[in-house]
Formats: sequence, C-alpha cells, structure tokens
Amino acid sequence: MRIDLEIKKEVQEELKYLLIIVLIILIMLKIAFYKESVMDIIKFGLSFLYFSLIPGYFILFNFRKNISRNLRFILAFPIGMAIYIIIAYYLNIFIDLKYLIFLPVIIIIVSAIFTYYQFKKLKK
Amino acid sequence: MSITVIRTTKYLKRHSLVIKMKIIRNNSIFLLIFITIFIFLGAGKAFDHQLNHPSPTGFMASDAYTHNWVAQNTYDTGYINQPPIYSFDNNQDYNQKVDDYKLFHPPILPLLTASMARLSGSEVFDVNITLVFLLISLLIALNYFILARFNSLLALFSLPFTLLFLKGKFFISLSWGWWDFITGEFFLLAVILLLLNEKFSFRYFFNALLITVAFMAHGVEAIYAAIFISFYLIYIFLNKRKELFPFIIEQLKSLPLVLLIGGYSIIIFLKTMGQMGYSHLRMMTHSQFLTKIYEGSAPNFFIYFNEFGIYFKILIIIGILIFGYLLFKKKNNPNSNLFPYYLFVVFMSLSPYLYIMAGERGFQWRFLWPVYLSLAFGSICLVIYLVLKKIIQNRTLLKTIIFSAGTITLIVMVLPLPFSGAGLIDAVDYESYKWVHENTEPFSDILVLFSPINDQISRLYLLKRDLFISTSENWQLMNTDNSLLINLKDDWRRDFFCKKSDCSLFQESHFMESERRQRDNYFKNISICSFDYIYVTFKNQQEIHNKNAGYLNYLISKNITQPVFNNAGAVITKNIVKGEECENRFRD
Repeated sequence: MRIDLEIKKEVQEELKYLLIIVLIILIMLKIAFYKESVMDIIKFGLSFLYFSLIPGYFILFNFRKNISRNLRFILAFPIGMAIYIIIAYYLNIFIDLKYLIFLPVIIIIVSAIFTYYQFKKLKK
Repeated sequence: MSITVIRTTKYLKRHSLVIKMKIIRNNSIFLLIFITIFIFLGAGKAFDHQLNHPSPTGFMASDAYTHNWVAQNTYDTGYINQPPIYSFDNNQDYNQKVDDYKLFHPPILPLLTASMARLSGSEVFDVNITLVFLLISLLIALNYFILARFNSLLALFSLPFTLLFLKGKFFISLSWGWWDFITGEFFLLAVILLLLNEKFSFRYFFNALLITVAFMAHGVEAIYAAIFISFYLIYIFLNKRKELFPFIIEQLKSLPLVLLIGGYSIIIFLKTMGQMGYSHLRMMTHSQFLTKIYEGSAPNFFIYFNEFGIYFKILIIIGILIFGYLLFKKKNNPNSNLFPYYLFVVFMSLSPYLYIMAGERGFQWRFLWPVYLSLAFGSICLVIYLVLKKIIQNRTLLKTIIFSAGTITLIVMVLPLPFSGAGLIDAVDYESYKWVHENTEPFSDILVLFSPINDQISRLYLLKRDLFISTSENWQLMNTDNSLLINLKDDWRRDFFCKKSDCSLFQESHFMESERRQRDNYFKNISICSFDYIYVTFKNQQEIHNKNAGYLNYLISKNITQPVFNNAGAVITKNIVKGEECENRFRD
C-alpha cells in the first residue's frame, strides 16, 4: 500500500514537472513570437514537443534512478527526436508520413508499459 | 470553506517561496530567461516575431532553399525516398519508376520538419527554419549542462557569450542554410553530455542511437563524436584507469548498434556523397588548402579568429587558459571530467591548421564558436565572481549582477540584431509560385527567363515544376531571329535521389556515371517552342528586364504565348502553340 502511494506520488510529481516545462516552453515561444496568436503558438509548440521532449521524457523516465531530473529533461529532446526519426525513417519506406505522426504516441505508450512493469517489479 | 481557503493560500505561499528559492539557487530560471532572450532576439527579430509567414522568411541563400525543398518534397509526397512527380516525363513514367529511388540527402531534418508541419498545419518553410533555430537554442542548453558538470556558475556565466551567434558571420549558418550541420551538432552535443555523465545500464544504446542520428543528420558529426570519444579514452587512461575497460566495452557495444541502426543510410552515403567527395578529408596545410581549392583567397563564409575583434580575442585566450587551469586544479574532483571536452573544443578550433583536416567542414564548425568558446567567457566571469564574493556577501545577488551585466553587455555588442525580412523570395514571388502549383499540370516544362537573382538557383525549387533556367550567356544570345535558346540550365529535381540499384550494398553502382551524364547534360539548347510556360521575374536590372520584356512581347505579338498571371513580382505566360506551328509563327 505504501509503495503504491509512493509510486503514485512519484508519477504525479514527474507529470506535474513535465506539464510545467511544457507550459514554460509555450510561454517562452509566446514571448519571442508575440505577434502570433496563442492558438498558433500552442499548435507549433506542442507539435515540436510532441516529436522531441514528450516521447524522450517517457523513455528516460525508466532511467530516473540513473539520470537526474534536469538532465533527463534536456536529454529528452535529442533522444525523443532520435527515436522518432530512426523508426519513422525505416517505416517511411512503406508507410506514408501522415500515419507516422502517430508514432510518438506509440513510443509513449510502450515507454509507459515499461515503467508499469518496472513498478510492478518494485512492488514484488 | 473559508478555513480551507486560508489554509490552501498559506500552503501555496509557503511552497511557492520554497520553489522560488530552489529555482534561483539551481540556476534553471536564469537558463530559461536567457533562452527566451536568445529566441526573442534571434528568431523573433529575424522572423518579425511571427511563426507563420506568407512566404519563406529569413532564407538568404541557396542552401536554405535546397534543404527546405527536400522537406517540402517529403511533406508533399509523404515519403522521404520518393522523387517529386514533376521530375518524371509523364504519368506512365512516374508510375513505373517512382519506387526505384532512395534519398541520399541527409534525411533527419527534412523528416522532422515534414512531420511537424503535418501536425501543426504550418507551412513547411516556416517550420523548417524555426525548428533549426530551436535546435540552436537547445544546443546552448546542452552546452550549459555540459559545463555545469564542472561548475554550475561557470556554465551560467558562459551563457551571455552565445549571443554572439546573432552577430556577423555566425548567424549566416542559419540564414544561408547550414541547417544539417546545426542538426548534426545538436546530436553531437547530446552524445558528449551523455558520455560525461554517470554510466548506466543502457547508456551504450542511447550513445549508439545519438551517434547514428548525428551521422544521418550531417555525416561529419559522427567523426567529431569519434574525436571526442578518443579524447575521453586518453583522459580516463591517464586519470581513471579503472574506468578504461568498462568504457571501451561500452563503446564496443555501441559500435555494432550504430552499424545496425544506421547501416542502411551509411551504405547510401558511401555509395553517393562519399563517391562524390563529400568526405572533405584533406592532408595539406591551410595555405595549400586555400591555394588549391579556393585559388588563394578564403571564401566569405570562412570564419577566422579575427571575427571576434581584438578585445574578445584576448578575452577568449585568457579565458581558455583559466578554464584549463581550473580543470587542472580540480583534476581529482570526480565531477571535473571536462578535460576531454576542453581538448575537443581547442582541437576543433585549430582543426583547419592541423594538416589532416576536414577542409571546408573544419571552418563550418566555427559557426558555433560562440557556443563552444563560451566556456572562456564563463571562466573569466567566474574569476570576477570569486574576487567580488569577498566584497559582496549575498551570493545570489552577486550571481544575478554578473549574469545580467554580461547579458546586457553582449546584447549591446550584438546590435544591430539580425536582419528581418523575407529573403530571396518575398510574398509576391511566392504568390506566383502558388499560382503555378494550382494552375499548371505537374509535367509542365517552364522556361525561366534570365535574372541574376536566379543564380541562387534553389530559390526556384519551390516552383515545383521541371524548370529550364536562362543563363547570362543565354540572355545575351537570345533574339527574335532564332527560336533556339542556347545554354539553358536543365534543373532536374531528382538530383538528391539515387537509383536503388546504385546505392545498394549488393549491386554494382553506376551512380557516378549517371552523375557525370547529368552534369554533361546540364546545359541544353532548346527551342522556345518546347515549353509550356514562361516565367519572368521583375526582380531584375533595367537592361535585362527590357530585353526579357521585349522578347516576351514579341512572342505575344506572334500569338505563341499569352499572359496568364501577373503581379508585382512576376509575369507568367502560357504557350498557346508548340512544335512546328510555333516555329512557323516565330519565323513569320
């Protein structure tokens, strides 16, 4: 029970941190491109983070014991992009790009499944 | 209810204060503020503080359009390896051959750009250049975290120096389109940061992944990663011999993974760009290099140390020496393993003078000097901080003062900021391009009448049709006595693609033969009666414009062509007749 609570707290904490970073980046973009509408900033900013930070973050969450949080966040950008691009590059030999934009979601889900099993192992 | 509100408010106040203190202490807030300033002054100014534009904005040279064209084509076709429909003769040709090609242009940036453009709904050209600028910003953050391994204050004080990227020749890496280089460097710095941090069980996998992507983004960055790893090996051999064997094992685990993940693109590279001599590895002195390759004088995009000005030159040299001293002084500190990075920066800075050199690429690396050499500025500021610490007791205040003073000074120094404006194609030009996309058949042949601006030939790529471009010689010889146009450039939009059989591991490659053939057939003599459309830009010198207009009026008066589009930037005419009938009308 205690472990369950700790896990929940850890996940909540991390997701909160991720959300704050996403919001900060959107605010930074809004300041730099202040003439652009909020909606366009959100669309551009989130699509950038969707192919970089977010999948990278979920992958690196599995290595949270080895890499500090700040470092995980900065490395999430190149690693998220790298994973997406490598898989997309090979899949694009057969699959149209318009379907590949769902790939980060799959990367996120697979990473979350890994995390789930990691926690499950921890509980045992 | 009210008690709950009061309690919540107290809780929030207490915690927000704690968070504020934490943030100020760990420098994150300074980093975020700085990156915001950097984007605001750089991309913000260059792109008029907008993300979406009516035409490509900030593209100041041909290379930018070249890379953007690859991304645009990936977006249009949906496949990175598919040449555009207009590069084929007709539908039958297209259906038969379209799957026979592979892209040999670096695929990383185009794929990422096309993906983002599809998701965000923005134009490919807007996403492309903004994405590259964001990569530069992240590169600065990566460099910050690398330096913070040694000293977080030094890392913080290094940041202002990176503003020099917005000044002079450094910024042309963005505006002239050295984008694949920037993308490669971004992944290279990620490799360096990863290796400088604690080892963990699957680090070899991420190492392999990032090196592969660095290679695929811009081949030479994988070599740079190897140089860094060599320095790291020397460092741990001399200082931490216990770690040597595990590190070698880790790299040996990474190597097969690199070959596995990147093998496909490594083969494509070796069979195409490698054959064309893009490796750029040269064994000669700097002056031999300039004499042999550039007839004695360096091209205008080569960056020398003089770019910094006398005071900065002195500051950088002193700063580098101080940084070396600090590293040496703390050599027993487990967190001071920045020696390999230090050696890497010094080695790469001197690379064009080291006899075995990367030629033009060695100079390209210098576009990021403001990032790499920022450690020198940070070192000097750190010394100032250590001196002033004895006078000013409040360390947070002192840190803030030095960081702010450094940032403000550098902002003043980089003024005036990068240009803003459309670049080689403006809104009226792009309006004419869009007209072509919407109103002409994909297999149309378009004659582009002469303008010196078209020497930056890639600015025409976004017309997305088979183009025949008038040269200066053609313009001089062009007359109403002869329908034949001499010396037209045949722009062939399949030149970033190799035939599958030519870039496969298992088949004999005829790539260089087809390249030679293409080069030999680049200039063609073709009759005016062969084209479907004529495109004339108004961005021209008066004399050239007058002759172009006279020639076009002659064709209109002979009922060979008729205007179908006209705006402030260009006129497009459609040929009404072709072949023999056209020849007869031309002669009459």
